[in-house]
Amino acid sequence: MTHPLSVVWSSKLDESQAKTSRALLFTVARQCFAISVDFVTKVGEMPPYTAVPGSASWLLGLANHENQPLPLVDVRQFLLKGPPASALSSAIVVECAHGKVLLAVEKIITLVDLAAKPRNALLPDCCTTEYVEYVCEHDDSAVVVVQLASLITAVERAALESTASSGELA
Amino acid sequence: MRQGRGVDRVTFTLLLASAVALLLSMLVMLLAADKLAKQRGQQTAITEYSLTLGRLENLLQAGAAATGDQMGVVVAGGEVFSAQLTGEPSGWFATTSTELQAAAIAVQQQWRGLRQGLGDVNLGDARSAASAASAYSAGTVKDALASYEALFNAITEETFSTALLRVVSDIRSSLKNIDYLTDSASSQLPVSAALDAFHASVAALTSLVQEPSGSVLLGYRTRQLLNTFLLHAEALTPERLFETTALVSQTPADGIQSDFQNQLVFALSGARNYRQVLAVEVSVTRRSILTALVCVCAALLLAAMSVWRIRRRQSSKETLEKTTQSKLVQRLKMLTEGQLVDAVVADDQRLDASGEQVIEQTRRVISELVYSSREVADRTADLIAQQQLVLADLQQAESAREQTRQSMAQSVTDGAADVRRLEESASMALMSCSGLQSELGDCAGVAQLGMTAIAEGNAHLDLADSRMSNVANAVRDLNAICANLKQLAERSNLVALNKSLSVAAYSDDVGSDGNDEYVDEMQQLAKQLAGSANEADRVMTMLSSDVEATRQAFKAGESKIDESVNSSREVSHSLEVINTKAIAMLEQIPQSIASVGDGVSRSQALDESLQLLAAVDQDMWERTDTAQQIANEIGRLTAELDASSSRFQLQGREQT
Repeated sequence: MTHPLSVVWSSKLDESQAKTSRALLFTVARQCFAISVDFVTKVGEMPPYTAVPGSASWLLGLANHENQPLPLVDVRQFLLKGPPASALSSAIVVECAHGKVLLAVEKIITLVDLAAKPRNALLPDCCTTEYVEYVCEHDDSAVVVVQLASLITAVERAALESTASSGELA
Repeated sequence: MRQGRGVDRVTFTLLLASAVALLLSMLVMLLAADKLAKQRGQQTAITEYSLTLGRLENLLQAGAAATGDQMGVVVAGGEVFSAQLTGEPSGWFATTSTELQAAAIAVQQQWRGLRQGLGDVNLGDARSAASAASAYSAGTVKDALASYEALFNAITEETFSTALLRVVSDIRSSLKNIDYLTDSASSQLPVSAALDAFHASVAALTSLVQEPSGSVLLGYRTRQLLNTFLLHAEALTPERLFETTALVSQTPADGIQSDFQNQLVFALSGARNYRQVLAVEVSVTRRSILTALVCVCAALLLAAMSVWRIRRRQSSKETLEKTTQSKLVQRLKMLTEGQLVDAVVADDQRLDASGEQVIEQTRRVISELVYSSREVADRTADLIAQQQLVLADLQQAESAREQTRQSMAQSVTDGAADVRRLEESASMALMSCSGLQSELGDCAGVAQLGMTAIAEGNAHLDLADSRMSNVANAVRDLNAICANLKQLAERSNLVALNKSLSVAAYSDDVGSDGNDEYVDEMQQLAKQLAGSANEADRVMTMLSSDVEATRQAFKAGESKIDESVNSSREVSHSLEVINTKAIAMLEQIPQSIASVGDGVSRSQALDESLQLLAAVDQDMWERTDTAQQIANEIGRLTAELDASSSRFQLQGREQT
């Protein structure tokens, strides 16, 4: 099992091979983040999910997406330093070479092209630096562009650790 | 000296005699009591001695029945009692009863002779034994008869057997026959025949009663009696009876026994004599005790008489002193009237022997009187001085009172003028009060109208409050609608994003076909919708806060209106109370005016009272002047009394 995050095989390329500069803006703890739109297949409200006993705290559970059970990941555990303080009301369906995964976020804002955006903004204190590709400005606010490859890798690593400690995730 | 103590010679003699008689009587009584106790002891001793002699006589008569121990006890008792009879030969008591002492010595001597004779009597034991055997024969028959009588009674009461009754009757007859033959000292043959018949009957009785299969059964007590009788019956044999009889007939008379009997009789007579003498002595002693008792009573009577005389003397002395004092008082009265000289002469003629003493006492009394009169004069002078001081104080008080009276009269006059002015003011106040009453009535009507208007305003406020509540509910509903609109805007945004994503995915293969503009327009519309919803939400929030503030203001206004209503009610009530009081005042003002008129009359009465008080003061001053004149007269008389006393004292000294 080389792709533990998904129960279905994905035809997408590796997430490091983004082709466009368009990104999807979303907020977590009132902080604006952005991921490349090349790996986002769908956005929507927070789906109902089933918690998995004995799983890690970042895994909220399994959600039914188009008759497929997908892991619902709490991105606050990876992107923020402190404990999660905001509610999660939306979800982003990400499909990459490792498989499909649902990212639970606070609010989805819009699609935007970040190619012409100045990248001189400072990283906010509440955010971690491990999964940040760069920080730019948009509508007079800082947008943290998430490096999806490192985020997915971290999720996969955490899943492997959790599997090693308590068995197969799914 | 005794007169000074209140006891004369006769009384003293009586007291002394009673004391001496009491002492002597007590001494005699004590000695006689002691003597009587000793004599009672001697009486007991002589009685015991007589009993001892009686026992000795009985023993000598019993002969063989007397043992050596019994005789020894009797002799020892005689020794003790005879020693007690002669043990107190000396002393004051012994010298007064020589006859008794001689009788005691005679008893002692008789006892010694009796003891010596008792030793001689012991030599004739054979006679004693014979006498005892003869007595035994008769006593055996008597004892058997007595025991059989008890058995006979028991059997006749217990059984109905004719055979047994016949046998016991035969036994009784036989026993009585034997008793008769024994007492009559008949020959041996009839007695032996009677004894044979007796033993045959006893054998028949034994066969009837003691056989195991006997027809007659007896009780336990009867059997005991039967056993006793059988023992007595076994003793009744011809050999025993006739042997003792022969011994008695063979014993000769003894002269020693008769001498001892004579000595014993003599000792008994001596004891009797001693007892008689002792009885006489006891009687004498008792009479002496009675005499001493009478003497004690007489001594007590003398003492009582002495006390009575002492008291009578004291009472007569007190009477004499009272008489003397009355005479002295009379003489003093005469002295005060200036007739002392004549009284002294008259008293000198009447009081011859005791005049000097009376005059001396009179002088002492007069001296005391002089000192007392001087003291009285001094005190009178002090009183006059104090009275003058009091008069000065009274004058000051009178002046102050006069000033007070004048000020009070002025006050009364001013008060009357004030009252008149007050009356006029009251009339004006009455008219003003009437106007005020009408004004108060108008105010009450206005207050009632105000209360009605306030009540209507309160009702309108309640209606506005309910409408504002409806507005607040509508605002809440609009808030909910705004929330739905924002949710719709977000969903629209998501739908547009999904469309854009799908278009982008499709455009990877085919390319963009102008859908981006559509998606952007949809997103703009969603944004505008969300902004409008937010704006509506903000406006609704503001409206809700305004509505809430308005409701709070309504509530505050409602509470204020309630307070105003309550205040209006209180004002109305107060106006009613004021109106009621005004009416009452209007009714009371005429009475007050009338009472003011009474005050004027009271001030006039007070003026009259002040005039009466001035008249009383005038009378008091006149009486004070009279009292001062009397005090001056008393001082003058006291001085005259002092001078008269001094003159009388000088005259008394000259006469002395």
